[in-house]
Amino acid sequence: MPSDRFYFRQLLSGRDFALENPLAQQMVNFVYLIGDRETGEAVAIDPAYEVAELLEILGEDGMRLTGVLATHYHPDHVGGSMMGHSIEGVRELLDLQGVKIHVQAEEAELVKKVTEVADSDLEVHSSGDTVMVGEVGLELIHTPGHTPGSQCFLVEGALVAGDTLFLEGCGRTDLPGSDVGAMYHTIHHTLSKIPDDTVLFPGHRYSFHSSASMGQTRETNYVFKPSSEEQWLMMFGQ
Amino acid sequence: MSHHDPLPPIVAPEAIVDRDDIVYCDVRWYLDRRPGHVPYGEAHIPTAIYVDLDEHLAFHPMKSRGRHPMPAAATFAASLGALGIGPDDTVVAYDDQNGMSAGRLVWMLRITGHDAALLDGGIQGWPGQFESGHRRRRPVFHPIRPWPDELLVDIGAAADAGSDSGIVLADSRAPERYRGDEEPVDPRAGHIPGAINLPFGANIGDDGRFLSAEGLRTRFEEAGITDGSHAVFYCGSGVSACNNLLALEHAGLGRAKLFPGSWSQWSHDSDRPLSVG
Repeated sequence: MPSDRFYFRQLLSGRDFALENPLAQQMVNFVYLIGDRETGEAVAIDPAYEVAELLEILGEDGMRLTGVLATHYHPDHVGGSMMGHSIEGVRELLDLQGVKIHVQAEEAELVKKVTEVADSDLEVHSSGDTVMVGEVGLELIHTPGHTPGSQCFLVEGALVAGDTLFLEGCGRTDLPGSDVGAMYHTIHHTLSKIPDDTVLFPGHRYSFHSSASMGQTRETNYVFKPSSEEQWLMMFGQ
Repeated sequence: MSHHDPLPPIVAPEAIVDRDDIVYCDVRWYLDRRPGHVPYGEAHIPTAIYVDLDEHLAFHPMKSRGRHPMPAAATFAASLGALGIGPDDTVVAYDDQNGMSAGRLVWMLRITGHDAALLDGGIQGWPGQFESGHRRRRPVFHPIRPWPDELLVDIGAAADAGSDSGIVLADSRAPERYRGDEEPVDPRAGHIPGAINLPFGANIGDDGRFLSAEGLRTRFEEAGITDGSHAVFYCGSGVSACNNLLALEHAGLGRAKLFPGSWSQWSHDSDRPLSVG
């Protein structure tokens, strides 16, 4: 695809949108808008905090929302209640524009529970499925560990990884529903197939840089250091 | 879209001071780790935004790739979008060290098809007023533009360039570092075998401005560079070499290649030979 046709925006909560929202500033979530500039279709990955503003940004770029992709069910990614705060997310977004939320099968019930969307709002997937946005294809990769149905999206040389993999470290595995052994398999087997020149776009800005190639990440991120599951469990196990 | 002609690689402030369509970028950066955003906050060219060399124009230092590895093309596009720089914007960048750090931004922009120039004379030569405080532009969409492979070389190709009589390998650092008399930051002192020394500071005349295009042309031709496509430049970490790359293009000699790893990568690889003197 010609590079100017591929629509890709990385928006940092509290900096690029939801500027006045203290939780958005504190959580430093990335929302991604991805689409096909020729057809004008776009999806939002992990829309939260100020969803009307995200639609405005799309509109200013001449794009329209045709779907939502959720990396996982945590409220800072899909909305819901968190630390005593109510976060806007997919439910409010669907009120403004009726589209489907694409989730992994293992995450469907969890997304419904925290966001109170209906079964009919969800498009349930398994690993390897592709969601087409115009001519742009997003491959869905099931990456359990942080949550049971976490997923990453591979699109045009970018890996949008949610809380599965950061530039430094990976998603927490000590939370309810986390699985440290599954995270080992995800990082060291599933994601080992991602080429070095693919660019990692994480779900939070926890590093100085906001993205990096997988090659750079493999050289610098400590989660790639353990050479066996045994070493991994010594580092990350409870 | 600007109705002006595209800017040359280096532009005099007098030529643009009346334009209101330019995105000024302050790229002050210091090797001793002093933060450049502090002097930016105190005084900068009106409307200028601050661009951080370490954050926006490079990835983390890595022994295997040098002190300022090139960011992925998608990362650079995301950074430009977040800074509020669109693909059709005209950018003029400056610093306070003869274009040492601002040149990297200008070069990265020009090789990805942007209208961009280095401000001749830097902030010291700005004829107008300054403003203080920190500015942000509204984020925009910026498409991902792949790096042109033909303008970037890795460590193996840099080594080959040093031994190829048809290619000029040019070290842009100060003569003392080239010769190996002193080495303030990297583990070994010296230069890549076969490299000549073309310190970027010699592009600048006693008035703090770049030499004329003719003067620059003479400088490069005397060094044996008559066509940029047969030259590879490096420096400490792929930053100040961009000053030479822009000067070469300004002189009408075309675009040469950059070895971004530069001496910071080469000197960390103890298997690589070096030359001194």
